Amino acid sequence: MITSISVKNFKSIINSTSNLPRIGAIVGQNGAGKTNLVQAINLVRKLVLGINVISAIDKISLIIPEIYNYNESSLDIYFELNVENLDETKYILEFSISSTESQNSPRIYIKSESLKKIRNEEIQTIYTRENNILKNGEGSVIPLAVDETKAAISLYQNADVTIAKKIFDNVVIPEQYTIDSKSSIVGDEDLGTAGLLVKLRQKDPVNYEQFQTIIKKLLPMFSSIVELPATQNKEDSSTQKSYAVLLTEKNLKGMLSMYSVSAGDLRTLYLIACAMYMNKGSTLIIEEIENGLHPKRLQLLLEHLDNIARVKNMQILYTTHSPTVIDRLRPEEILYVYKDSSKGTLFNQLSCHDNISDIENMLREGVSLTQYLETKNPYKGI
Amino acid sequence: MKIGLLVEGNFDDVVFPIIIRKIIISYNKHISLEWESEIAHGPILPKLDEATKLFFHNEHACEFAVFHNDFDNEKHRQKKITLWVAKYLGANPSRKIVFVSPDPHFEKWFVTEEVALKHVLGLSSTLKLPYPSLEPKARVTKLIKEKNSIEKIEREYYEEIAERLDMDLLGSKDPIFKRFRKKLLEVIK
Repeated sequence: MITSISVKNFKSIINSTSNLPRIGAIVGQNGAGKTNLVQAINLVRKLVLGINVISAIDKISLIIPEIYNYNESSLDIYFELNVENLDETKYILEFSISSTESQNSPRIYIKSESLKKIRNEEIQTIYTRENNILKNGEGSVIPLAVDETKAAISLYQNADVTIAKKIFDNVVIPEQYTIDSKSSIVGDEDLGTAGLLVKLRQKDPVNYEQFQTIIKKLLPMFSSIVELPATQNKEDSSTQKSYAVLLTEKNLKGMLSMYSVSAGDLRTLYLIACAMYMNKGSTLIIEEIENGLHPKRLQLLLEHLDNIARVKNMQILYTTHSPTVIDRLRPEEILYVYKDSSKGTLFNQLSCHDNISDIENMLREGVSLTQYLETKNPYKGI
Repeated sequence: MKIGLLVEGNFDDVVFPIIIRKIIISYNKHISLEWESEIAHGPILPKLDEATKLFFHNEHACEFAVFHNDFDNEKHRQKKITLWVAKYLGANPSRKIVFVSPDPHFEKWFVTEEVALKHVLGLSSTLKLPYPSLEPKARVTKLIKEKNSIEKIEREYYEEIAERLDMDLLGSKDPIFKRFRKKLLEVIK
Protein backbone atom coordinates (compact mmCIF):
# COMPACT_ATOMS: atom_id res chain seq x y z
CA MET A 1 0.00 0.00 0.00
CA ILE A 2 1.25 3.47 -0.92
CA THR A 3 0.68 5.82 2.01
CA SER A 4 2.16 9.00 0.57
CA ILE A 5 3.80 10.39 -2.54
CA SER A 6 6.04 13.32 -3.31
CA VAL A 7 6.83 14.28 -6.91
CA LYS A 8 9.07 17.00 -8.36
CA ASN A 9 9.55 18.00 -12.01
CA PHE A 10 7.57 15.16 -13.51
CA LYS A 11 5.42 16.34 -16.38
CA SER A 12 2.99 18.97 -15.02
CA ILE A 13 3.92 18.27 -11.37
CA ILE A 14 6.58 20.80 -10.37
CA ASN A 15 6.50 20.02 -6.67
CA SER A 16 3.69 18.39 -4.74
CA THR A 17 3.28 15.98 -1.84
CA SER A 18 0.31 14.21 -0.30
CA ASN A 19 -0.81 11.28 1.75
CA LEU A 20 -2.94 8.81 -0.19
CA PRO A 21 -6.21 7.37 1.12
CA ARG A 22 -6.67 3.61 1.48
CA ILE A 23 -9.84 3.79 -0.58
CA GLY A 24 -10.61 6.90 -2.53
CA ALA A 25 -10.71 8.96 -5.67
CA ILE A 26 -8.27 11.17 -7.52
CA VAL A 27 -10.40 14.10 -8.59
CA GLY A 28 -9.76 17.20 -10.69
CA GLN A 29 -10.66 18.93 -13.93
CA ASN A 30 -9.49 17.74 -17.35
CA GLY A 31 -5.81 18.53 -17.76
CA ALA A 32 -5.25 19.10 -14.02
CA GLY A 33 -2.66 16.30 -13.88
CA LYS A 34 -4.51 13.28 -12.46
CA THR A 35 -3.07 10.93 -15.07
CA ASN A 36 0.41 12.40 -14.55
CA LEU A 37 0.17 11.47 -10.87
CA VAL A 38 -0.88 7.91 -11.78
CA GLN A 39 1.95 7.75 -14.33
CA ALA A 40 4.42 8.84 -11.65
CA ILE A 41 3.35 5.91 -9.47
CA ASN A 42 3.48 3.57 -12.45
CA LEU A 43 6.95 4.77 -13.45
CA VAL A 44 8.33 4.08 -9.97
CA ARG A 45 6.60 0.69 -9.95
CA LYS A 46 8.18 -0.24 -13.27
CA LEU A 47 11.64 0.84 -12.12
CA VAL A 48 11.33 -1.21 -8.93
CA LEU A 49 10.31 -4.24 -10.96
CA GLY A 50 13.48 -3.98 -13.06
CA ILE A 51 12.29 -2.19 -16.18
CA ASN A 52 14.90 0.29 -17.37
CA VAL A 53 14.00 3.95 -17.26
CA ILE A 54 13.94 4.32 -21.06
CA SER A 55 11.33 1.55 -21.42
CA ALA A 56 9.46 2.76 -18.35
CA ILE A 57 8.82 6.19 -19.90
CA ASP A 58 8.04 4.67 -23.29
CA LYS A 59 4.27 5.07 -23.10
CA ILE A 60 4.20 8.30 -21.15
CA SER A 61 6.23 10.50 -23.47
CA LEU A 62 7.35 10.50 -27.07
CA ILE A 63 10.53 12.41 -26.38
CA ILE A 64 12.41 12.65 -23.08
CA PRO A 65 12.02 16.44 -22.54
CA GLU A 66 8.25 15.90 -22.46
CA ILE A 67 8.52 14.57 -18.91
CA TYR A 68 10.31 17.56 -17.40
CA ASN A 69 9.46 20.45 -19.67
CA TYR A 70 7.31 22.30 -17.16
CA ASN A 71 10.28 23.38 -15.08
CA GLU A 72 13.13 25.14 -16.82
CA SER A 73 15.31 25.39 -13.73
CA SER A 74 15.95 21.68 -13.22
CA LEU A 75 16.27 18.54 -15.30
CA ASP A 76 16.08 16.26 -12.26
CA ILE A 77 12.90 14.35 -11.64
CA TYR A 78 12.32 13.30 -8.06
CA PHE A 79 9.95 10.75 -6.54
CA GLU A 80 9.47 9.76 -2.92
CA LEU A 81 6.95 7.08 -2.05
CA ASN A 82 6.10 5.90 1.44
CA VAL A 83 4.80 2.35 1.37
CA GLU A 84 3.81 -0.26 3.91
CA ASN A 85 2.98 -3.93 3.86
CA LEU A 86 0.31 -5.86 5.72
CA ASP A 87 2.32 -6.10 8.95
CA GLU A 88 2.73 -2.31 8.74
CA THR A 89 6.46 -2.41 7.99
CA LYS A 90 7.08 0.98 6.40
CA TYR A 91 9.60 2.00 3.78
CA ILE A 92 10.55 5.23 2.04
CA LEU A 93 11.78 4.84 -1.53
CA GLU A 94 13.40 7.82 -3.25
CA PHE A 95 14.50 8.19 -6.84
CA SER A 96 16.15 11.04 -8.64
CA ILE A 97 16.19 10.67 -12.40
CA SER A 98 18.24 13.01 -14.53
CA SER A 99 18.95 13.56 -18.17
CA THR A 100 21.52 15.24 -20.32
CA GLU A 101 20.38 17.08 -23.37
CA SER A 102 22.13 16.19 -26.53
CA GLN A 103 20.84 16.92 -30.02
CA ASN A 104 21.30 13.41 -31.32
CA SER A 105 20.97 11.12 -28.33
CA PRO A 106 19.33 12.39 -25.17
CA ARG A 107 20.44 10.37 -22.15
CA ILE A 108 18.21 9.61 -19.18
CA TYR A 109 19.55 7.84 -16.11
CA ILE A 110 18.98 7.23 -12.43
CA LYS A 111 21.09 9.79 -10.57
CA SER A 112 20.33 8.77 -7.00
CA GLU A 113 18.17 6.34 -5.11
CA SER A 114 17.60 5.24 -1.55
CA LEU A 115 15.50 2.86 0.48
CA LYS A 116 14.84 3.57 4.14
CA LYS A 117 12.89 1.58 6.68
CA ILE A 118 10.78 3.16 9.39
CA ARG A 119 10.69 1.22 12.61
CA ASN A 120 9.36 2.64 15.87
CA GLU A 121 9.49 6.09 14.29
CA GLU A 122 13.23 5.68 13.66
CA ILE A 123 14.49 5.82 10.09
CA GLN A 124 17.05 3.18 9.10
CA THR A 125 18.82 3.44 5.74
CA ILE A 126 18.83 0.15 3.84
CA TYR A 127 20.89 1.42 0.90
CA THR A 128 21.76 4.59 -0.95
CA ARG A 129 22.89 5.00 -4.51
CA GLU A 130 24.69 7.90 -6.16
CA ASN A 131 24.99 7.32 -9.91
CA ASN A 132 26.41 3.78 -10.10
CA ILE A 133 27.78 3.54 -6.56
CA LEU A 134 25.67 1.60 -4.10
CA LYS A 135 26.23 1.82 -0.34
CA ASN A 136 24.58 0.03 2.57
CA GLY A 137 23.16 1.67 5.68
CA GLU A 138 26.58 1.82 7.32
CA GLY A 139 28.04 3.64 4.31
CA SER A 140 30.08 0.70 2.97
CA VAL A 141 30.17 0.23 -0.77
CA ILE A 142 28.10 -2.70 -1.99
CA PRO A 143 29.96 -4.48 -4.79
CA LEU A 144 27.12 -4.59 -7.30
CA ALA A 145 27.31 -3.46 -10.91
CA VAL A 146 24.38 -1.11 -11.35
CA ASP A 147 23.22 -0.10 -14.80
CA GLU A 148 22.58 3.65 -14.90
CA THR A 149 19.14 3.10 -16.42
CA LYS A 150 18.03 0.50 -13.88
CA ALA A 151 16.93 0.87 -10.28
CA ALA A 152 19.28 -0.70 -7.74
CA ILE A 153 16.28 -1.98 -5.80
CA SER A 154 15.55 -4.34 -8.69
CA LEU A 155 19.04 -5.88 -8.45
CA TYR A 156 20.10 -5.73 -4.80
CA GLN A 157 19.43 -8.86 -2.72
CA ASN A 158 18.41 -7.95 0.82
CA ALA A 159 15.52 -8.96 3.08
CA ASP A 160 14.12 -5.42 3.32
CA VAL A 161 14.59 -4.83 -0.40
CA THR A 162 12.63 -8.01 -1.09
CA ILE A 163 9.75 -6.81 1.10
CA ALA A 164 9.73 -3.36 -0.52
CA LYS A 165 9.84 -4.91 -4.01
CA LYS A 166 6.94 -7.18 -3.11
CA ILE A 167 4.87 -4.12 -2.13
CA PHE A 168 5.46 -2.59 -5.58
CA ASP A 169 4.89 -5.94 -7.28
CA ASN A 170 1.43 -5.79 -5.70
CA VAL A 171 0.59 -2.43 -7.27
CA VAL A 172 -1.67 -2.93 -10.30
CA ILE A 173 -2.62 -0.16 -12.72
CA PRO A 174 -4.62 -1.80 -15.54
CA GLU A 175 -4.19 -0.32 -19.00
CA GLN A 176 -7.42 0.71 -20.75
CA TYR A 177 -6.76 -1.63 -23.69
CA THR A 178 -6.38 -4.55 -21.26
CA ILE A 179 -9.75 -3.83 -19.68
CA ASP A 180 -11.37 -3.44 -23.11
CA SER A 181 -9.76 -6.58 -24.60
CA LYS A 182 -12.35 -8.70 -26.38
CA SER A 183 -10.06 -11.69 -26.73
CA SER A 184 -11.83 -14.93 -25.79
CA ILE A 185 -9.14 -17.39 -26.83
CA VAL A 186 -6.46 -16.92 -24.26
CA GLY A 187 -3.06 -18.36 -23.41
CA ASP A 188 -1.11 -18.02 -20.21
CA GLU A 189 0.26 -14.58 -21.01
CA ASP A 190 -3.00 -12.88 -22.02
CA LEU A 191 -4.03 -10.03 -19.74
CA GLY A 192 -7.57 -9.18 -20.89
CA THR A 193 -10.72 -10.18 -19.01
CA ALA A 194 -10.74 -13.73 -20.39
CA GLY A 195 -7.09 -14.26 -19.48
CA LEU A 196 -7.69 -12.87 -16.01
CA LEU A 197 -10.65 -15.23 -15.45
CA VAL A 198 -8.47 -18.23 -16.32
CA LYS A 199 -5.73 -17.02 -13.98
CA LEU A 200 -8.22 -16.38 -11.17
CA ARG A 201 -9.69 -19.88 -11.52
CA GLN A 202 -6.22 -21.43 -11.54
CA LYS A 203 -4.95 -19.40 -8.58
CA ASP A 204 -7.85 -19.90 -6.19
CA PRO A 205 -11.01 -21.86 -7.05
CA VAL A 206 -12.77 -20.59 -3.88
CA ASN A 207 -12.09 -16.97 -4.87
CA TYR A 208 -13.30 -17.82 -8.35
CA GLU A 209 -16.62 -19.08 -6.98
CA GLN A 210 -16.95 -15.93 -4.86
CA PHE A 211 -16.19 -13.86 -7.96
CA GLN A 212 -19.04 -15.58 -9.83
CA THR A 213 -21.42 -14.94 -6.92
CA ILE A 214 -20.60 -11.22 -7.06
CA ILE A 215 -20.90 -11.08 -10.84
CA LYS A 216 -24.33 -12.72 -10.73
CA LYS A 217 -25.49 -9.78 -8.60
CA LEU A 218 -23.91 -7.14 -10.83
CA LEU A 219 -24.83 -8.68 -14.20
CA PRO A 220 -28.36 -10.01 -13.69
CA MET A 221 -28.38 -11.92 -17.00
CA PHE A 222 -25.06 -13.61 -16.34
CA SER A 223 -25.27 -17.31 -15.68
CA SER A 224 -21.81 -18.91 -15.77
CA ILE A 225 -18.32 -18.91 -17.24
CA VAL A 226 -17.34 -21.78 -19.47
CA GLU A 227 -13.70 -22.59 -20.18
CA LEU A 228 -13.07 -24.85 -23.12
CA PRO A 229 -9.60 -26.23 -23.79
CA ALA A 230 -8.34 -24.94 -27.11
CA THR A 231 -5.11 -24.79 -29.04
CA GLN A 232 -3.81 -21.64 -30.55
CA ASN A 233 -1.27 -21.34 -33.30
CA LYS A 234 1.00 -18.42 -32.71
CA GLU A 235 2.83 -16.60 -35.50
CA ASP A 236 5.97 -18.64 -34.84
CA SER A 237 3.90 -21.81 -35.50
CA SER A 238 4.43 -23.17 -31.97
CA THR A 239 1.33 -24.34 -30.17
CA GLN A 240 0.59 -23.35 -26.60
CA LYS A 241 -2.02 -24.44 -24.08
CA SER A 242 -4.94 -22.09 -24.29
CA TYR A 243 -8.59 -21.73 -23.40
CA ALA A 244 -11.75 -20.40 -24.97
CA VAL A 245 -13.50 -18.39 -22.26
CA LEU A 246 -17.21 -18.05 -22.92
CA LEU A 247 -20.15 -16.78 -20.93
CA THR A 248 -23.62 -18.21 -20.63
CA GLU A 249 -26.62 -16.01 -20.05
CA LYS A 250 -30.11 -16.74 -18.82
CA ASN A 251 -32.59 -17.35 -21.66
CA LEU A 252 -29.82 -17.86 -24.21
CA LYS A 253 -29.24 -21.26 -25.78
CA GLY A 254 -25.73 -20.60 -27.00
CA MET A 255 -22.64 -19.21 -25.34
CA LEU A 256 -21.15 -15.74 -25.75
CA SER A 257 -17.59 -14.76 -26.48
CA MET A 258 -16.16 -11.51 -25.12
CA TYR A 259 -17.11 -9.91 -28.46
CA SER A 260 -20.76 -10.13 -27.42
CA VAL A 261 -20.23 -8.68 -23.95
CA SER A 262 -21.01 -4.96 -23.64
CA ALA A 263 -18.23 -2.53 -22.74
CA GLY A 264 -19.79 -1.88 -19.32
CA ASP A 265 -20.22 -5.57 -18.53
CA LEU A 266 -16.68 -6.32 -19.69
CA ARG A 267 -15.33 -3.53 -17.45
CA THR A 268 -17.37 -4.87 -14.51
CA LEU A 269 -16.07 -8.41 -15.07
CA TYR A 270 -12.48 -7.21 -15.39
CA LEU A 271 -12.40 -4.95 -12.34
CA ILE A 272 -14.07 -7.44 -9.99
CA ALA A 273 -11.86 -10.29 -11.29
CA CYS A 274 -8.79 -8.09 -10.90
CA ALA A 275 -9.61 -7.15 -7.30
CA MET A 276 -10.39 -10.79 -6.46
CA TYR A 277 -7.16 -11.99 -8.13
CA MET A 278 -4.89 -9.53 -6.36
CA ASN A 279 -3.04 -10.44 -3.17
CA LYS A 280 -4.00 -9.16 0.25
CA GLY A 281 -2.53 -5.73 0.93
CA SER A 282 -2.24 -4.88 -2.79
CA THR A 283 -2.89 -1.52 -4.43
CA LEU A 284 -5.26 -1.22 -7.40
CA ILE A 285 -5.37 2.07 -9.30
CA ILE A 286 -8.11 2.45 -11.90
CA GLU A 287 -8.25 5.33 -14.36
CA GLU A 288 -11.67 6.85 -15.15
CA ILE A 289 -13.52 4.07 -13.36
CA GLU A 290 -16.92 5.28 -14.60
CA ASN A 291 -16.16 4.71 -18.30
CA GLY A 292 -18.99 2.82 -19.98
CA LEU A 293 -20.91 2.25 -16.75
CA HIS A 294 -24.47 3.25 -15.94
CA PRO A 295 -24.57 5.20 -12.61
CA LYS A 296 -26.49 2.39 -10.89
CA ARG A 297 -23.97 -0.23 -12.04
CA LEU A 298 -21.13 2.09 -11.07
CA GLN A 299 -22.57 2.53 -7.57
CA LEU A 300 -22.85 -1.23 -7.04
CA LEU A 301 -19.44 -1.90 -8.57
CA LEU A 302 -17.87 0.64 -6.21
CA GLU A 303 -19.62 -0.89 -3.22
CA HIS A 304 -18.31 -4.34 -4.17
CA LEU A 305 -14.78 -3.05 -4.86
CA ASP A 306 -14.76 -1.24 -1.51
CA ASN A 307 -15.97 -4.39 0.21
CA ILE A 308 -13.32 -6.58 -1.45
CA ALA A 309 -10.69 -3.97 -0.54
CA ARG A 310 -11.82 -3.94 3.07
CA VAL A 311 -11.87 -7.73 3.43
CA LYS A 312 -8.50 -8.14 1.66
CA ASN A 313 -6.96 -5.06 3.27
CA MET A 314 -6.28 -3.59 -0.17
CA GLN A 315 -5.85 -0.04 -1.34
CA ILE A 316 -8.10 1.04 -4.22
CA LEU A 317 -7.77 4.43 -5.89
CA TYR A 318 -9.64 5.63 -8.96
CA THR A 319 -9.42 8.75 -11.06
CA THR A 320 -12.89 10.04 -11.81
CA HIS A 321 -15.14 12.88 -12.89
CA SER A 322 -18.31 11.09 -11.82
CA PRO A 323 -20.61 12.60 -9.14
CA THR A 324 -21.72 9.01 -8.39
CA VAL A 325 -18.18 8.26 -7.26
CA ILE A 326 -17.26 11.60 -5.66
CA ASP A 327 -20.45 12.14 -3.66
CA ARG A 328 -20.21 8.83 -1.81
CA LEU A 329 -16.78 9.67 -0.41
CA ARG A 330 -15.64 11.71 2.57
CA PRO A 331 -13.15 14.62 2.14
CA GLU A 332 -10.26 12.47 3.44
CA GLU A 333 -10.99 9.96 0.68
CA ILE A 334 -10.62 12.55 -2.09
CA LEU A 335 -7.22 13.44 -3.49
CA TYR A 336 -7.90 16.75 -5.20
CA VAL A 337 -5.68 17.60 -8.16
CA TYR A 338 -5.45 21.15 -9.42
CA LYS A 339 -3.23 22.91 -11.95
CA ASP A 340 -1.93 26.32 -10.97
CA SER A 341 -0.60 28.54 -13.76
CA SER A 342 2.74 29.08 -12.00
CA LYS A 343 3.02 26.14 -9.60
CA GLY A 344 1.91 23.41 -11.98
CA THR A 345 -0.09 20.44 -10.72
CA LEU A 346 -0.78 20.38 -7.00
CA PHE A 347 -2.46 17.50 -5.20
CA ASN A 348 -3.65 16.98 -1.66
CA GLN A 349 -6.33 15.21 0.33
CA LEU A 350 -9.38 17.45 0.54
CA SER A 351 -9.41 16.96 4.32
CA CYS A 352 -5.97 18.60 4.55
CA HIS A 353 -7.07 21.87 3.02
CA ASP A 354 -7.33 24.96 5.22
CA ASN A 355 -11.01 25.33 4.47
CA ILE A 356 -12.02 21.81 5.51
CA SER A 357 -14.39 23.20 8.16
CA ASP A 358 -16.21 25.16 5.40
CA ILE A 359 -16.43 21.97 3.33
CA GLU A 360 -17.85 20.01 6.27
CA ASN A 361 -20.37 22.75 7.02
CA MET A 362 -21.53 22.76 3.41
CA LEU A 363 -21.82 18.96 3.40
CA ARG A 364 -24.01 19.17 6.51
CA GLU A 365 -26.26 21.65 4.70
CA GLY A 366 -26.68 19.20 1.83
CA VAL A 367 -24.19 20.63 -0.67
CA SER A 368 -22.53 17.66 -2.38
CA LEU A 369 -18.78 17.35 -2.78
CA THR A 370 -19.22 17.56 -6.56
CA GLN A 371 -21.14 20.83 -6.22
CA TYR A 372 -18.52 22.14 -3.82
CA LEU A 373 -15.64 21.30 -6.16
CA GLU A 374 -17.45 22.83 -9.13
CA THR A 375 -17.99 26.15 -7.39
CA LYS A 376 -15.00 26.47 -5.05
CA ASN A 377 -11.31 25.89 -5.59
CA PRO A 378 -9.85 24.32 -2.45
CA TYR A 379 -6.41 25.62 -3.50
CA LYS A 380 -7.52 29.25 -3.50
CA GLY A 381 -5.08 31.25 -1.45
CA ILE A 382 -2.16 28.84 -1.76
CA MET B 1 -50.19 3.65 -6.36
CA LYS B 2 -47.29 5.89 -7.30
CA ILE B 3 -45.10 7.05 -4.42
CA GLY B 4 -42.42 9.72 -4.46
CA LEU B 5 -39.41 9.01 -2.28
CA LEU B 6 -36.76 11.57 -1.37
CA VAL B 7 -33.92 10.05 0.64
CA GLU B 8 -30.37 10.87 1.66
CA GLY B 9 -28.81 7.91 -0.16
CA ASN B 10 -26.97 6.19 2.64
CA PHE B 11 -28.81 2.86 2.26
CA ASP B 12 -32.10 4.58 3.09
CA ASP B 13 -32.75 4.26 -0.66
CA VAL B 14 -32.86 0.48 -0.04
CA VAL B 15 -34.54 0.40 3.35
CA PHE B 16 -37.41 2.89 2.95
CA PRO B 17 -39.08 1.33 -0.10
CA ILE B 18 -39.12 -1.98 1.82
CA ILE B 19 -40.48 -0.46 5.04
CA ILE B 20 -43.13 1.60 3.18
CA ARG B 21 -44.18 -1.46 1.16
CA LYS B 22 -44.50 -3.56 4.30
CA ILE B 23 -46.61 -0.90 6.03
CA ILE B 24 -48.92 -0.45 3.01
CA ILE B 25 -49.28 -4.18 2.42
CA SER B 26 -50.22 -4.67 6.07
CA TYR B 27 -53.17 -2.37 5.30
CA ASN B 28 -54.05 -3.66 1.86
CA LYS B 29 -52.03 -6.44 0.28
CA HIS B 30 -53.55 -5.88 -3.16
CA ILE B 31 -52.10 -2.40 -3.66
CA SER B 32 -49.49 -2.38 -6.36
CA LEU B 33 -46.68 0.15 -5.85
CA GLU B 34 -44.74 2.26 -8.30
CA TRP B 35 -41.81 4.45 -7.23
CA GLU B 36 -40.39 7.79 -8.25
CA SER B 37 -37.14 8.17 -6.31
CA GLU B 38 -34.77 11.04 -5.76
CA ILE B 39 -31.49 10.45 -3.93
CA ALA B 40 -29.93 13.58 -2.43
CA HIS B 41 -26.48 12.04 -1.72
CA GLY B 42 -26.51 13.91 1.57
CA PRO B 43 -29.11 15.95 3.47
CA ILE B 44 -32.33 16.37 1.46
CA LEU B 45 -32.75 20.10 2.14
CA PRO B 46 -31.35 21.38 -1.20
CA LYS B 47 -33.39 18.78 -3.12
CA LEU B 48 -36.85 19.63 -1.77
CA ASP B 49 -37.88 21.90 -4.68
CA GLU B 50 -36.53 19.58 -7.35
CA ALA B 51 -38.07 16.47 -5.77
CA THR B 52 -41.56 17.95 -5.32
CA LYS B 53 -41.54 19.11 -8.95
CA LEU B 54 -40.56 15.60 -10.00
CA PHE B 55 -43.16 13.93 -7.76
CA PHE B 56 -46.19 16.20 -8.16
CA HIS B 57 -45.86 18.61 -11.04
CA ASN B 58 -45.95 16.31 -14.03
CA GLU B 59 -48.46 14.26 -16.01
CA HIS B 60 -48.20 11.13 -13.86
CA ALA B 61 -48.02 12.72 -10.44
CA CYS B 62 -47.37 10.67 -7.32
CA GLU B 63 -50.26 10.13 -4.94
CA PHE B 64 -48.05 11.03 -2.02
CA ALA B 65 -44.38 11.42 -1.16
CA VAL B 66 -42.17 10.31 1.69
CA PHE B 67 -39.18 12.45 2.66
CA HIS B 68 -36.51 10.88 4.84
CA ASN B 69 -33.67 12.73 6.51
CA ASP B 70 -31.94 11.40 9.61
CA PHE B 71 -32.03 13.75 12.59
CA ASP B 72 -28.25 13.45 13.06
CA ASN B 73 -28.37 15.90 15.99
CA GLU B 74 -29.11 18.68 13.47
CA LYS B 75 -32.26 20.19 14.99
CA HIS B 76 -31.89 23.33 12.89
CA ARG B 77 -31.90 21.36 9.63
CA GLN B 78 -34.84 19.20 10.67
CA LYS B 79 -36.80 22.35 11.54
CA LYS B 80 -36.02 23.88 8.14
CA ILE B 81 -37.34 20.79 6.35
CA THR B 82 -40.45 20.67 8.52
CA LEU B 83 -41.19 24.34 7.79
CA TRP B 84 -40.55 23.88 4.08
CA VAL B 85 -42.97 20.93 3.94
CA ALA B 86 -45.64 22.83 5.93
CA LYS B 87 -45.32 25.84 3.61
CA TYR B 88 -45.50 23.66 0.50
CA LEU B 89 -48.57 21.78 1.74
CA GLY B 90 -50.19 25.11 2.71
CA ALA B 91 -49.77 26.29 -0.87
CA ASN B 92 -50.65 22.89 -2.36
CA PRO B 93 -53.35 21.43 -0.10
CA SER B 94 -54.14 18.52 -2.42
CA ARG B 95 -50.57 17.13 -2.12
CA LYS B 96 -49.53 14.70 0.59
CA ILE B 97 -46.04 14.48 2.08
CA VAL B 98 -44.87 12.37 5.02
CA PHE B 99 -41.60 13.61 6.45
CA VAL B 100 -39.76 11.26 8.79
CA SER B 101 -36.61 12.03 10.72
CA PRO B 102 -35.43 9.08 12.84
CA ASP B 103 -33.35 10.13 15.83
CA PRO B 104 -30.40 9.99 15.43
CA HIS B 105 -30.70 7.86 12.27
CA PHE B 106 -32.83 5.08 10.84
CA GLU B 107 -30.39 2.39 11.98
CA LYS B 108 -31.86 3.04 15.44
CA TRP B 109 -34.88 1.07 14.19
CA PHE B 110 -32.65 -1.95 13.40
CA VAL B 111 -31.13 -1.82 16.87
CA THR B 112 -34.47 -1.20 18.62
CA GLU B 113 -36.31 -4.03 16.88
CA GLU B 114 -33.08 -6.12 17.05
CA VAL B 115 -34.69 -9.47 16.10
CA ALA B 116 -34.14 -8.91 12.37
CA LEU B 117 -30.61 -7.60 12.85
CA LYS B 118 -29.64 -10.58 15.00
CA HIS B 119 -31.18 -13.05 12.57
CA VAL B 120 -29.52 -11.63 9.43
CA LEU B 121 -26.12 -11.30 11.09
CA GLY B 122 -26.35 -14.71 12.75
CA LEU B 123 -26.12 -13.27 16.28
CA SER B 124 -27.57 -15.05 19.29
CA SER B 125 -31.21 -14.12 19.87
CA THR B 126 -30.81 -14.46 23.62
CA LEU B 127 -27.64 -12.38 24.10
CA LYS B 128 -27.59 -8.58 24.10
CA LEU B 129 -26.44 -6.79 20.96
CA PRO B 130 -22.74 -5.97 21.23
CA TYR B 131 -21.26 -2.46 21.31
CA PRO B 132 -24.03 -0.65 23.25
CA SER B 133 -21.83 2.45 23.60
CA LEU B 134 -21.79 3.04 19.84
CA GLU B 135 -24.39 5.16 18.04
CA PRO B 136 -26.83 2.98 16.04
CA LYS B 137 -25.29 3.68 12.60
CA ALA B 138 -21.75 2.93 13.78
CA ARG B 139 -23.03 -0.09 15.71
CA VAL B 140 -24.84 -1.61 12.71
CA THR B 141 -21.88 -0.88 10.40
CA LYS B 142 -19.43 -2.48 12.84
CA LEU B 143 -21.60 -5.58 13.24
CA ILE B 144 -21.97 -5.95 9.46
CA LYS B 145 -18.25 -5.46 8.86
CA GLU B 146 -17.48 -8.13 11.44
CA LYS B 147 -19.23 -10.61 9.14
CA ASN B 148 -16.28 -9.95 6.78
CA SER B 149 -18.05 -11.37 3.76
CA ILE B 150 -16.25 -10.69 0.49
CA GLU B 151 -19.36 -11.53 -1.56
CA LYS B 152 -21.99 -9.55 0.26
CA ILE B 153 -22.02 -5.76 0.49
CA GLU B 154 -23.47 -3.61 3.27
CA ARG B 155 -26.43 -2.65 1.06
CA GLU B 156 -27.51 -6.31 0.87
CA TYR B 157 -27.43 -6.70 4.66
CA TYR B 158 -29.54 -3.54 5.02
CA GLU B 159 -32.01 -4.94 2.51
CA GLU B 160 -32.31 -8.27 4.34
CA ILE B 161 -32.66 -6.63 7.75
CA ALA B 162 -35.39 -4.28 6.45
CA GLU B 163 -37.25 -7.23 4.90
CA ARG B 164 -37.29 -9.05 8.25
CA LEU B 165 -38.23 -6.06 10.45
CA ASP B 166 -41.36 -6.70 12.50
CA MET B 167 -43.40 -3.51 12.02
CA ASP B 168 -45.63 -4.12 15.04
CA LEU B 169 -42.71 -4.82 17.35
CA LEU B 170 -40.85 -1.75 16.09
CA GLY B 171 -43.99 0.37 16.37
CA SER B 172 -44.34 -0.68 20.00
CA LYS B 173 -40.75 0.29 20.80
CA ASP B 174 -40.00 3.42 18.77
CA PRO B 175 -42.36 6.44 18.95
CA ILE B 176 -40.92 8.08 15.80
CA PHE B 177 -41.55 4.93 13.79
CA LYS B 178 -45.01 4.60 15.33
CA ARG B 179 -45.89 8.15 14.19
CA PHE B 180 -44.41 7.51 10.74
CA ARG B 181 -46.51 4.37 10.26
CA LYS B 182 -49.64 6.16 11.47
CA LYS B 183 -49.11 9.12 9.09
CA LEU B 184 -48.37 6.78 6.20
CA LEU B 185 -51.55 4.81 6.77
CA GLU B 186 -53.52 8.08 7.00
CA VAL B 187 -52.33 9.28 3.60
CA ILE B 188 -53.18 6.02 1.82
CA LYS B 189 -56.66 5.77 3.28
